[in-house]
Amino acid sequence: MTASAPDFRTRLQDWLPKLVLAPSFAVTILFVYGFIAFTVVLSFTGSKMLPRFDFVGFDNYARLFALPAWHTAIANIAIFATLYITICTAIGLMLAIFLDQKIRGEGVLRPIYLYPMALSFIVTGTAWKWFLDPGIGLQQVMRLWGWETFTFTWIKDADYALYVIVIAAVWQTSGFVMAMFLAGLRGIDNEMLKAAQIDGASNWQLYRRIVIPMLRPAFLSAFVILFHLAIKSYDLVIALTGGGPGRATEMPATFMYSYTFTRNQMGIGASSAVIMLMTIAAIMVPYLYAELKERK
Amino acid sequence: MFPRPIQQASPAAQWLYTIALPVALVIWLFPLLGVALTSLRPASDLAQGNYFGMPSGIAWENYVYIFTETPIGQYMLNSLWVTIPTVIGAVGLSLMTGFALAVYGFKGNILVFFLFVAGNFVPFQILMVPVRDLTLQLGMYDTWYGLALFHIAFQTGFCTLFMRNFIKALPFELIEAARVEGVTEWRIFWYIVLPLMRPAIAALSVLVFTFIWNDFFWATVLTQGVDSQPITAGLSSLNGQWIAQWHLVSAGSIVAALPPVLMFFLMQKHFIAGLTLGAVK
Repeated sequence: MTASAPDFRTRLQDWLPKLVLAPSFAVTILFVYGFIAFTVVLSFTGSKMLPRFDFVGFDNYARLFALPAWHTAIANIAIFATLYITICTAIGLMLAIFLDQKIRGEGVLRPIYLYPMALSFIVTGTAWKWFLDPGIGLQQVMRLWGWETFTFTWIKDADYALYVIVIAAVWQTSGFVMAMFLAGLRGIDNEMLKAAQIDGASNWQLYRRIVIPMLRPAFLSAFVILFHLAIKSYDLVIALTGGGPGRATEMPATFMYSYTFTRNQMGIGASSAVIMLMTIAAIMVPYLYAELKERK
Repeated sequence: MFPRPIQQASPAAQWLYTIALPVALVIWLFPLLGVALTSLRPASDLAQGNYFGMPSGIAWENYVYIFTETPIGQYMLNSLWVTIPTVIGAVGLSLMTGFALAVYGFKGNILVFFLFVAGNFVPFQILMVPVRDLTLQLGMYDTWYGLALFHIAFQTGFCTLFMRNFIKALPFELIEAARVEGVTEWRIFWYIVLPLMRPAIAALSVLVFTFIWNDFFWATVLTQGVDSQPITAGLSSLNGQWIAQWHLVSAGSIVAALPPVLMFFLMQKHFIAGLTLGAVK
């Protein structure tokens, strides 16, 4: 009895990490991976309003890619993601470098750039919808101030509404990108920069040749985060334009929701979700694999 | 000295600086300040087209109106009911999973960690139908606990990543030393690791609070009525009713934005630390 007691305790200790992990692990396997499998299966069935299990092969995918609305959604997300990622990275880097110049008031400025991160996209959407509404926002102010011909009607214009979403999204997240770059900048070894400075390198050269190349990891994580935020973007579109005017700002996320719940084409909705997942996985899996291998 | 202080830069650069910074500040603050000002404008001002001029008075009645005539107070309570259990649940669970993954090198450790982290990037759309079906079947559709439960399930991945990375960065010798002394594992967790985790717990709680408070997608998928809809979904449907009543829309937005923005400014240090530590999110 006395001999087996410590044995039991040691064994319990060995099992402890697994016991502790088990509930969360089970939840993740079931609710994330199990549910992905469920939706993948759905995408091969003729489900309409409710899930059904009559298999139709790749029918849903064929129909999905024949839909003009899906083509619009894909074209929109491509434009949106490209502009959003590029502009956010550029502004984030610029703000980070500006704030890194040992200026007074950094403590005041940094949170101001970052606070939109704490806002709901619904609130951001409302704020920008109001600000860019031709009758009451920016256009109105400019006209009141005497610039009578000033016109800014992008939000109502099918050709430009998408760019309004880019503006609002950039406003919301570039502070976050700034914080990431700022952390990267602070992590750079100062000795090397001092040495280069003594050798007569100008500030511009320092940034171009040393600082920016050394920020590569920050660029990579910024890209990955912005990319997945872009694909997921749903709230902002709903709050800002509701996918309109017409279908001008339809995105895969809004397409998926409306085909599944409003139009009762669950099979097609599921197949569009699978395409979204595969797009993200194509970027994410290699990135995470490389990251984890390195850290091991 | 690197970077050179701005005072040593060329006059042109200094000029650019003094112009660029205020311009950027105005752009960053204007949308929300504009909304805040509009929320205090009397409806009559807006009717006369006075959107940006001097308001004819401060209209606290806009706020009184939305709290007395609309269920916005209920929406706020619903949000709290969803957010607080999620923060406690997700942070509590991830403390344990993070500890297990950071301290023990068992077989499959990296694979489990990978599954947690990768789950984080999954677009919610692909989970939407099964989650909704399951909540309906369990009778948890349109309840705060149904929403909170799934939030916990989907936040665990991010929180685990966060906690695991934080614990990994702690001096491992502390744990080793305690083991040599014969301290049991759970006491190591409770008396040695947990006290060191305080900053991480604070940072993660702030982050999860804002994520969940601001969630809109799951709120629309899993709740419907005034009794359970959180503020984001509630505000969205109120906005549909208040067409062109911008003083009400603005007041509603300010009310919805206040808790996370206050949280952000009060816990700023933790928020920034959290965002950059969990940068893989």
